[in-house]
Amino acid sequence: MFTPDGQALLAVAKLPDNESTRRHLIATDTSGLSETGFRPADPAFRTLETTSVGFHSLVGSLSHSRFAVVDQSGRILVFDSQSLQLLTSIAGNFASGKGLAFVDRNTLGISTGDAFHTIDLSNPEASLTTPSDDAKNSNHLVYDFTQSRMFVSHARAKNQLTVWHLSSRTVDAGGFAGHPAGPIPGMEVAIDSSSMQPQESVAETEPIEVTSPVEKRIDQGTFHPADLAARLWTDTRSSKQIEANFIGIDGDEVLLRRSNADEIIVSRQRLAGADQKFLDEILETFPATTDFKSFAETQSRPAGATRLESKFKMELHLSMKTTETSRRRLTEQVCSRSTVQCPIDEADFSCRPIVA
Amino acid sequence: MRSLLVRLVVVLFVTNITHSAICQSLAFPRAVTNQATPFVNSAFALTIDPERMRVAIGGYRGDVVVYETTSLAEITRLESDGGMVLATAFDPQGRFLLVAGDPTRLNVYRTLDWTLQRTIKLPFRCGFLCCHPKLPIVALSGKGTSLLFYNFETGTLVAVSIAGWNAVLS
Repeated sequence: MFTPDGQALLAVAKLPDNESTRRHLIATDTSGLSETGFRPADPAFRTLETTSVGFHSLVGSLSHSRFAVVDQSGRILVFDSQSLQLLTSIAGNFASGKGLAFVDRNTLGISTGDAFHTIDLSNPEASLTTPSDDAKNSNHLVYDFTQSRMFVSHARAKNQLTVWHLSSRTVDAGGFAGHPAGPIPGMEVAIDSSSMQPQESVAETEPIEVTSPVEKRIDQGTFHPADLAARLWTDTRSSKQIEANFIGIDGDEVLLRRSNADEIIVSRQRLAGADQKFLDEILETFPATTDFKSFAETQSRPAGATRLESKFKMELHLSMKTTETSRRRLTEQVCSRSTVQCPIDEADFSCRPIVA
Repeated sequence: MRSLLVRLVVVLFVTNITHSAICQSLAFPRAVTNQATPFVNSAFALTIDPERMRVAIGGYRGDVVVYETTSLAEITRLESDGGMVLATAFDPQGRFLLVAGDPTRLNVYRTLDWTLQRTIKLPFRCGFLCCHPKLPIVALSGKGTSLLFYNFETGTLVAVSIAGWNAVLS
């Protein structure tokens, strides 16, 4: 595939002086290409990545601002098309992944023969696996961004073209046909977060980036967890940080909401000490937050639905239990942890961000 | 007490509505259509032109079928000329559909009326092709071959990459 400006061509290649099994992801200079010729005839090239097991797929995002390859060891590599720098390396169970496509510049779809995976490049922990027989013998994925559909071709006896609808990413609450959603087993992620910052405007669908902390609001005697200020949460396993609002806690599961409305369920045990302390203080202030899990267990609903019902149950419980004293304590806690300086207004206990 | 009951009813109502919405979007991704399309042979090539709402698929039997992406209605069926289709692509402007495979050839179809504009004989079995974003140039390769650059509007060979590597996948 070409880079968006046509200045380079990306390919997987075999170099004659290498071992026969080694494969190289190369970028060759095509700036001298014209409608009638190519100068010089022997263009320069450089190797971006090498593997001894071979590559399956090489695809670009819609605007070709990024490209990705998957190799037969199961790694997915994502590069910036302009700088040709590696942005993300995801090691997972993708060794059989022959179909790969960008959904948007931060989301990849991949078919691995027994499942479809949807990988959030900015938050791989929230990636989803959807086991399905329909993933068998799939060889190409192409994404229709106008309708959020993934077209999949299959080399098999029948039903060779399937179409998948990718529903809203606002609910991270379950998998296909009742299969549990969640991080892909064995997936390890190495992200250069500085390289994942928003770049030039592109035509493809862009996730909403965090622009400012969520405005805090504790009013009318009702505390809604969703109204707490966004804060940084640290995953001790990956050392990755995300900015998100605390929504609720259900046993070991902490429900967070990012500014683009994505909801993430993370294990409390994986959160850093400061996050644990924050949760302890929330629970201390509102012991009711520990009191809603039994509700979910009585319902025969999909796991994600019960989690979210738990959240609403908690909000209901909190709204009934909140007292002025606890509101004040919480206001102080929130303000002290906010990424925006936030004075306490004694009159109404509301938080107001200071505008510089 | 009455106030609490009112709030309880309101919250339960909102919860119920939200739960319905959540259940509808639980599956991610979910298959909304998984029907057998009229395409009934083992597929090896797939390409999409989302802006013009068409997807093209080809495979073992050699014919290429172009579907409208919303309804999956068949737009056209490009008959086989005798071999498998291994790679296909729309050019970035959507004016041409390029089809490569067996026999060793590249077919260029004009998407305006889906007529075959030209057939370019290739020196190898092409499994991979991609179009230049600005020029009417297509890069082609097979397994272990050099890279060829053709002008698909004129049908002329523009260049052969002799950069010391052979393409495996592109």
